[in-house]
Amino acid sequence: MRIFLEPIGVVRGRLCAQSVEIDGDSAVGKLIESLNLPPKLNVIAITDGKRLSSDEKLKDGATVKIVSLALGG
Amino acid sequence: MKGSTGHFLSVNLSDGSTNSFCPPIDYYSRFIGGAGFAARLFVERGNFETDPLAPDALLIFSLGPFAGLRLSGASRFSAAACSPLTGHWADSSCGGNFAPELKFAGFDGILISGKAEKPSVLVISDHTAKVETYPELWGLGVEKTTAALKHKFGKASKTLVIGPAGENLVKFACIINDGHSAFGRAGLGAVMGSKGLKAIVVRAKDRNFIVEDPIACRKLVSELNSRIKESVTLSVMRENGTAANLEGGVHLGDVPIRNFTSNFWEEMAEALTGSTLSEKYLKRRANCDFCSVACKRIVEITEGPFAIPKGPGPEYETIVSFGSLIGSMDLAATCKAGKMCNDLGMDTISCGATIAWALEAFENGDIGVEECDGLQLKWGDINTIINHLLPTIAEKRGGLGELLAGGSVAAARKTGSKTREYNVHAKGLEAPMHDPRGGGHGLALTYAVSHRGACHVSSPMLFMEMGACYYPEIGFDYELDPLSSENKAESAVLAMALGSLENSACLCQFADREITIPEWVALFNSVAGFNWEIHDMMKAGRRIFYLQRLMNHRYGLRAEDDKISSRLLTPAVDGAPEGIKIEFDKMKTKFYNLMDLDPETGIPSSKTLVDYNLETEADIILKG
Ligand code: SF4
Repeated sequence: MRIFLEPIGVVRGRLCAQSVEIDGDSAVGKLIESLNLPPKLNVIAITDGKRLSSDEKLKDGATVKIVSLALGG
Repeated sequence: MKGSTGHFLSVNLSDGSTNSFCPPIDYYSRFIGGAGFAARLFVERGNFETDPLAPDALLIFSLGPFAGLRLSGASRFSAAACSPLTGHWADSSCGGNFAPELKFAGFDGILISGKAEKPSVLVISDHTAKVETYPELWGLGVEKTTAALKHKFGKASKTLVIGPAGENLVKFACIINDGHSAFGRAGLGAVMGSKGLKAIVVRAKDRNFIVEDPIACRKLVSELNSRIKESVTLSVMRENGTAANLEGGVHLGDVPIRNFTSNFWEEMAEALTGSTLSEKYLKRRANCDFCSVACKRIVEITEGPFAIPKGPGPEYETIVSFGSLIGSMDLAATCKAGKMCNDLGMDTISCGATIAWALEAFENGDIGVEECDGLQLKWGDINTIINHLLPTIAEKRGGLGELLAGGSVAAARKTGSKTREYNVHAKGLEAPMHDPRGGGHGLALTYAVSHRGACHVSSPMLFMEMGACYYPEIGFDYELDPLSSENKAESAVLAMALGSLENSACLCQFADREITIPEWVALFNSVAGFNWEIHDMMKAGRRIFYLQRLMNHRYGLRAEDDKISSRLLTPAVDGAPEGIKIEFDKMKTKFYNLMDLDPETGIPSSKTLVDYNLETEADIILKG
């Protein structure tokens, strides 16, 4: 299935793909893994303003925001 | 004692005398330096009954053992005193270039008492110091004062300066190092102003820094510097400053909006984020001495109402304090407001938060045009803030200036009970620009139990909750869910000890995220020769935490004061944390149990005081 990506903040310059193709029954954790972002950026996925847990299943065609937890002071 | 000079400078401004003294040697291994050392010195020489702005109040500047080391993040130092803003013990941390220079000049710190008859400057050079009278500097902004001092004492001299706000005893006045870095929090600029001390200048010829084990130290510093330079998260900060991920923070609900009444504002996120600052106004990056992260910004705005010449730009806290917190998404305006606060010598966090309180009070009709000297206050009206409020507050002009110059808590106390609901603070210190409802529930706990009040640098909790660091050697090897209370008390116990270590060793919270626990120990051992194991180091961190609590107990704080404003405990109305409640009492009770803190007095049991070798200090503080 195809998932559309909206990189936010520091993720923007590091994630070029606008969408990714992943297995039909994949969860958020799998999606994040497939993005190959540096682990230290510690990214999460957000849909409709809410954080998705890593075992949450995605729907084909969904758009998710990819946000890093690396906040500054 | 290696890594330190063994000498403190003592200055009595009442008679202009300066002396050097050697603090007891055990203070170095028991309280390290910076905030911990300053606290111990105050217990020895200070008076808990003295008004923070009285002549005999003490103001202490204190270096850590690593100041002077060519290590990224090691050039910070602490200032400490009884805070005029909160009325209890507080310290503040500053980067920049003053700390190494003071160490090279032969001092581990400065202890200031008395009050100068005429506006004065403390001039320090190799192992000597004198107080000189400079009435012509009084009334000048920080920029002009700094320039005048550089002209007189040479470009290479390093300065600490207060602005008009410090002179006028504004309760959140700050102290600025070389026009850019700040002892921002807790109003220590007012303490300096109350002493008639406009500035401190230091210049050292030598660059000597003697460490315990030069070979081990050089190897470790070189490894750490390489890692810090290559770190992904720190390169993000180099690229776009401390506000690099402000946009991400908005989507997480961490960034406060309109005085913490909202946790989401999408258009603002991109307008204020660090990459936008880089694209529009960044001229170059700047750093504290020896730091490769270079998270500081030099900006220029060439046109428009907020045009400013090339100079220091805002960091995250300032951008949010004068951006979303007051309902504005004008990035240029945050640069201008930050520059004005620096020049007037005011903490941008407490200043922005106090203004946000006033905006809400005006909107709800608790204060009107009459109390505001004819001004209409509106969310997002940054023009009024820049052109009227900032100078008015710094000069304590009119009723509004007087009201706001005392900080938001005092302003609410004077105005009426309903406006207390608009206060967002802990122990009288306005909350920084991370909302625990979105940034992490553990932050609510660490804001509450921090000795100086709502403070994001009292511990690395924010970074631990976001997964930026793990410390398996001390048991922090698990992931935290920012939006839950699970494991927060346990991790806060470690975080508070680590925060005490950071603020006493005076290492920067950004750069030191890359340092592992065994490396921390190796750093202390190779520089200061403490001969520590991990356990000894963590014990020192916790000892300092307990000492500061004992001191604040003497200032009248109790367990019930370990709390945060109800606004932060009310579930967010929007954004990622919408509807989620922070289980504050549960976290606090567990934290108290784990730290052996009495649920009424808030201080540790006698057994714990003995375990942490604090009997002498407890005797002086509690019985004195
Ligand atoms: S990371 Fe930034 S604030 Fe910290 S020491 Fe380096 S330049 Fe200074």
